[in-house]
Amino acid sequence: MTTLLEMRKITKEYRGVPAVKDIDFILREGEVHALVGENGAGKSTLTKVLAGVTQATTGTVFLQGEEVSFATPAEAIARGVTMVFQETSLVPSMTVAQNLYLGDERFFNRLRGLYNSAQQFLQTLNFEVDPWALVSTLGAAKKQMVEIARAVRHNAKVIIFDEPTATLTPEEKRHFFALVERLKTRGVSVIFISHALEEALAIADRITVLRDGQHILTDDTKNLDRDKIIRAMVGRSLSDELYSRKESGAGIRPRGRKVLSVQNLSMGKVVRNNSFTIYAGQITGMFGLIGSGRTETAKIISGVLKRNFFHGGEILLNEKPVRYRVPRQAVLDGIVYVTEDRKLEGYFETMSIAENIQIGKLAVDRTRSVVVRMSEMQDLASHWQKALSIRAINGNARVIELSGGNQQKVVIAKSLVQLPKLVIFDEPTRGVDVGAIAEIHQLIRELANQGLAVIMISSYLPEVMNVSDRILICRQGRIVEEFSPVGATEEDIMYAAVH
Amino acid sequence: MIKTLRRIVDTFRGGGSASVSIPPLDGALEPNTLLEDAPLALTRVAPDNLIEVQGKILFSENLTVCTLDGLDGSLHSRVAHQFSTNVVALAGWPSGGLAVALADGTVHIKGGQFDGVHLDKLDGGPFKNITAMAYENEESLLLCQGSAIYGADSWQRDLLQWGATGTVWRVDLAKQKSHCVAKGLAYPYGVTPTADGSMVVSEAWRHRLLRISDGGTQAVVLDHLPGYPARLSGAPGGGWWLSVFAPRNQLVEFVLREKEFREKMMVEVKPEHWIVPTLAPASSFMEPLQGGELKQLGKLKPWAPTRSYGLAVQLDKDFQPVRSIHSRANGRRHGVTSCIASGSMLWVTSRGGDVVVGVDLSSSRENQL
Repeated sequence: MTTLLEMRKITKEYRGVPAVKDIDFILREGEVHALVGENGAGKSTLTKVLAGVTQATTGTVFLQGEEVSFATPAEAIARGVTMVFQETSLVPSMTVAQNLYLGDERFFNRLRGLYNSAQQFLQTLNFEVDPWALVSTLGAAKKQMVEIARAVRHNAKVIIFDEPTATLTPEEKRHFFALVERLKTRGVSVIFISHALEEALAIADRITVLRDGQHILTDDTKNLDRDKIIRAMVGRSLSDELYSRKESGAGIRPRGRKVLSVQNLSMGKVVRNNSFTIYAGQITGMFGLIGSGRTETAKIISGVLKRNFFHGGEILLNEKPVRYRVPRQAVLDGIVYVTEDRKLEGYFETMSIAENIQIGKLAVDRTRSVVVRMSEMQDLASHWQKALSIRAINGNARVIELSGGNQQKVVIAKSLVQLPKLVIFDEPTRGVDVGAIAEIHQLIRELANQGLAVIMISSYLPEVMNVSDRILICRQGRIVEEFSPVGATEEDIMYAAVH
Repeated sequence: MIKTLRRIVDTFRGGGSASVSIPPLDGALEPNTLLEDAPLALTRVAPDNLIEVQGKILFSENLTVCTLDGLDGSLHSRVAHQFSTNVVALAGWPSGGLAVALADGTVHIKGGQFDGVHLDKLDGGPFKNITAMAYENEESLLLCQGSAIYGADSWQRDLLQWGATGTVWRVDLAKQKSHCVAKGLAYPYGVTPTADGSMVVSEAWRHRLLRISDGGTQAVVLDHLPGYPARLSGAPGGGWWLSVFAPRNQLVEFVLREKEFREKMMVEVKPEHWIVPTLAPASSFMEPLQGGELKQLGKLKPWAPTRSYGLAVQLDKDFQPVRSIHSRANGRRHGVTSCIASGSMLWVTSRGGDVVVGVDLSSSRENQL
């Protein structure tokens, strides 16, 4: 394979601090090259330099042997380098088709033709997205699909995918991988940034590992395994912590008392007659495809959403029926929900860690005091920073400045400060680097060991199988099956989730 | 007044008795395949009531009462008693006597101090549908009559009509007198005396266990079962075993709330195609459930909402579930009407699966709390 793109000695500094330093990177024609590393390793910075989002402080980029320097993303796109961002760059008030053809409009546009062409194009990619739908009405997964479709449509030579599968269901991921294969056969080179190492190992031809802004290794995928990559990423092996499946059953916690009983919970067409029970001292994993009603069920339990007024079912907390109008009532009863969308619902990004945690505490403050002492707030922040190993300069650091893993820990701290009895984690490690994943898993385990009832909603099967004491499978708005992590296979769980 | 108001509100909001609510099979009732996978099994035709008398395991099978022999591995059975009509319930005394209830409404005592006694009516009239019996003391027998209207083979019709004509009787064999302990029950299908002098009765159509005191007062000891409870038996070392002969099903629960549909169905549709619980897994393409809910890619889903299931539940001394053994939707050993623990073995009759099964409890601890 010939070299399509080469980056030599790339350094990017922010206020004198290097985000990436002296990185060499080669992308061959028609290869899938995975770029892995912890949050803050420099993956996004490196690819942003390539896509013209930002400019390198020093170093050169060669595209097909010719030195290039992209001042804007538009220049990069014009030369065939496109980036699909983790945070979507779609216009929410426009339709899917309009977003796909944004920038390619003619003076007079035939809308019907535009929509038909968009429909055909989306179908060729196996993406079930309605081209007439407004982007603002789409879920995260569908937005991601539109973003990918837009990049593919630009006939790019190099496509950079930044965490493309984070919001996709297992079925959608398969379609995505098939799409990457098709792109490869067309000679398109793909840079694939992912935290899911299995995915990198499955679809990449070569893998590059970055750590602390520096290049650690690049090798053919066949010469690497999960443990080697993790060791390169974090400087130590975490495989035992992350993926040691409970073969013997010795690590499975026994059921405690019944904490929550959900009976025939219904909300529109999303949650349909859902029934299950949650026990203290156990981690109940909840697995299902996106749209299977897991998040909605959790949100109804925690008072964020309301069940049907008629035939809505019952929720019994400690054998007593409860019906919350607002989340605060649930929080006061000891139920907290750690959201999957931390950016939108989890924290106030421009506020400090201390302020965010204090806001969490206010929800359970029955005295409703008007004045908050700064020293108390700082003490509280430093306590939780220490307890959850939130890495920041101090409690005054703004949440937006933290890495994904530390942001997630702030959201968790904001919930745990409410002294819950039942904690619902919704995708607790989405967009979190591998080192922080191990820490968050450990935290979840400790909560269960302390006797709390824990629900962990996750779309990541190895996580569900490794952390949970029992696994509930959600399909079409209801729990259809329960598995023990001992003996259950990924195939069994997927079959139950899909069929 | 408040009850009436609540019922009206429930009807609108779908709560309480108006909710089509089925408790999940989890906790102590977490599904497994212990019953389905048990290797020790004897194929018979519709085996029903199991009892233990003087160390011998007996079971009823159509016209006969059989002994279960070869418990160490080479299971076989031998006919101990033969009758002219079907045997519907058994009870045994530790001293050796055996009470046999027949479908024609008679009870025969074989052996023991009342050998040859023949009962053919209660104080309230002739027997109609004896579902279960239990020995209370040397002279007294407890007896459940599932329905005062329908016979044993019409239990599905009784369910569809929300039958609540069941009774529980205490029969004094010495005086040949009987006394009604409770009436208005929704198909009592199991009874067991307790140490405090009361008795516990399984009320199938209300999915619960009732404690009935000597004075006749009733208290619910276990409610919201995910199936229809049948016979009860004592467990060695305390506690009880409860057999559950069919699962509750959302479709059936819905049909039970649609009076006109039910009445029309009973008139126009053959009973084998009614939307009701069954003892055996359906094999007909006319099965009144959508195929896709049961089978996908040629695989019968274990969690499919079938109308038959195999379930026996161990209860603690307070009648709370401790563990359970299952034959799931994709199994065959369904319609468990009776089970009895003996030593480390649990003997189960799967009436729908035409088999008597021995489950070794010492090697199956998964579901224990």
